[in-house]
Amino acid sequence: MTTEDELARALRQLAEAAPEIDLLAGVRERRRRRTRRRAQAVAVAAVIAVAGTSTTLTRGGVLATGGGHDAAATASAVEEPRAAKPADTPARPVDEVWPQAVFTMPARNADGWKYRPITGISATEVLLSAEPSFEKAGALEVYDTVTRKARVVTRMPSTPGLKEYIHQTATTDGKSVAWFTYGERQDGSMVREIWTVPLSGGEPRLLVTLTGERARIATIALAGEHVVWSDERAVWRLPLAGGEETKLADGLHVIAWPWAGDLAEGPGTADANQTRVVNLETGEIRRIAAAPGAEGLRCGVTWCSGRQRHAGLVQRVDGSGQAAFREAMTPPDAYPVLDRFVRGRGEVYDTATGVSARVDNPGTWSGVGVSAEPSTILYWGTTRSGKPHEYRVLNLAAVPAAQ
Amino acid sequence: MDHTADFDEFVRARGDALLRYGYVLSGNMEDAADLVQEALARLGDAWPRVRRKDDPEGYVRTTMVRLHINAWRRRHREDLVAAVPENGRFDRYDDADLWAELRQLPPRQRAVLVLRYYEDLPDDRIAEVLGVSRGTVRSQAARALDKLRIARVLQEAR
Repeated sequence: MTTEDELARALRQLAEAAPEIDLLAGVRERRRRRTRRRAQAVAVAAVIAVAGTSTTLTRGGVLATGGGHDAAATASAVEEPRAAKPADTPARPVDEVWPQAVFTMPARNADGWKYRPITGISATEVLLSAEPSFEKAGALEVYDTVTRKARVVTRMPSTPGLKEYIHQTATTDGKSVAWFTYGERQDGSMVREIWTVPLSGGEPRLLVTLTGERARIATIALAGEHVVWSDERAVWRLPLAGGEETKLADGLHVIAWPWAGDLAEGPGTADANQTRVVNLETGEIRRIAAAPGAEGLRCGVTWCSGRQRHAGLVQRVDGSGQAAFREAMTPPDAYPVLDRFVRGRGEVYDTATGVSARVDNPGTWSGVGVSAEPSTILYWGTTRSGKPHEYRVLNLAAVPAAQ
Repeated sequence: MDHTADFDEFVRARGDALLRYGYVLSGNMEDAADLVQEALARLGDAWPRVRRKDDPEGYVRTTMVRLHINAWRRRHREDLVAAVPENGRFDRYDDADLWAELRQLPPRQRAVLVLRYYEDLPDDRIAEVLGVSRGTVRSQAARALDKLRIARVLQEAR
C-alpha cells in the first residue's frame, strides 16, 4: 500500500465482494422481534429496579446489558440463526475443537537454532528444520509430542563449490525424507540437487544433480522406491536406489503423491482454476467442475478451495458442496490439506465435519509448515513476542477421522 | 397510516449499497448483514419521522458505523489478530493483503478510513458521524495509515 488512492480502490473492490441477501425479510423479522422485546424490556427494567445493582440479565437467550438498543443489536446477532451454509458456522477455538491436535513445543533446538516446522509425519510426530540463520537449514529433526523430545535425523550436508546454497522444500512419506537444494556455480548457472535420508537417521545421500533446463524443479514427493519431482514442463521419477530419471507425465505438477494437477506454482497462476486432478499411479483423471465465478481453485482428490467474488470458496471436485468460506480472505494457491482441511487466515475449516477451528493467537504472526505437499502444520508463538521461546502447534494429521 | 410500502421500496433500492458499506466496515459477511438489518429495522421504527425530516440513508449509515464500533467494544471480537502467514509462499501482495491489514485495525480507526476513503466524507462530517472531535478523526486516520504502511514494510522486508 503506497497511496491513499490505492486504499480507496481496495475498499471499493472489497465492497464488490459483499454478499447478496434478502434484506427485507431479515428486517421485517427483526422489527417483529424488537416490538416483542420492547414489551419484555418493561418487565426486565422492573427486575433491575428491584435488584438495584444488576446490569446483566440473561433471559431466554437474549442478553440484555443495560446498554439500550446497541445491546439488543448484539443479542439478535447471537440469537438469530441464519440460513447458513456449512462453512458459515462460526469458528470455535482450536483447543476446543481438536484438543488432541494442538500442543506446545520449544521454538529452538539444543543448539539454539530456530525451528521451522515442515509437516506432521503422524499424529504424534512433526518433521522440523532447525535453522542457525534465516532459511539456512542446519539439521532435520523430529519432535515427538508424547515424549516431548526432539531427535536429530541428520545434519544438513552442503556441496563445496556452490554459492547461494539453500535447502529448499522437503517431503516425507513416513519412512524417508527427501529435499532439493538451490545453488549456483561460480559462473552463475543454476544447480539443483535432490537428497534423501531415512527418517530413522543416517547419512544423507545425493540422488541427482540437475542443471540447465532440468534445474527448474518446482516440487518434490516420495513415491515408494522412487523420488518424484515436477518442473515447469513435466513430472519426473528416479529410483531411490539410483539410476536415470524417467518422465512420468507432461504438463502436470505434483500436489501430494500420487496426485497431480495442471497448474504450475508461480507468478500469473494465482487466479487460474485447476481443471483436473490426475492420479500418477493409475492414470485416473478427475475433471474439476468449477463453481461459477470461481478463481484460484486448488483441488485435492475430493475437495477444492478458492475464491469467489473475493470471498473464500470450498467445493468438491465434482462441483457439489459449494459453500462460501466465512473468512473473507483465503490465501491464494493453497491446496486443501490431507484433501480435507482448508486454511483461512487464523482459521481452519474441516470439510469432513463442516466445523471451523479458530486460532487464538496472542502474537501478530503465524506460520504454515513448509513441506512440498500441503503441510498439516500451523504454528504461532505462545506469547506476543516476535521471538517466542515456545510454539503452539496445530497438527492436522492428529485430527481424528470424521465419524 | 401505513408507511410500509415506501420503506420497503427504500430497502429494495438502497439495500445492496448498504450491504457493501457494511461489508467494507466490518470485513465479514455475517457482521455486514447484521449491521444493515439492525440499522434498517431501526430506520423502519423511525421511518415516519426520518423520511420527512432527515436523510434516511444517512441515518442508516450513521447507525451502522456506530453499531459497528459499539458492538465491537462489547464483544471483544476474536478476529482482532488476522494472522499473516509467515511462510513466504503467499508472495502476492495485493488487495487481499491490504484487506487483511485493514482487519487488524481497531474498528474506530477502520471506520475513519472507510468514511474518508470509501464514503468520501470530509473530516468534520466524519467527526459528526462518530461523535468525536475533528482532531480525533485526524489522529485516528493518521495512526491507521501509519499502521498500514508499517505492516506493509514488515511484510516486504521478510
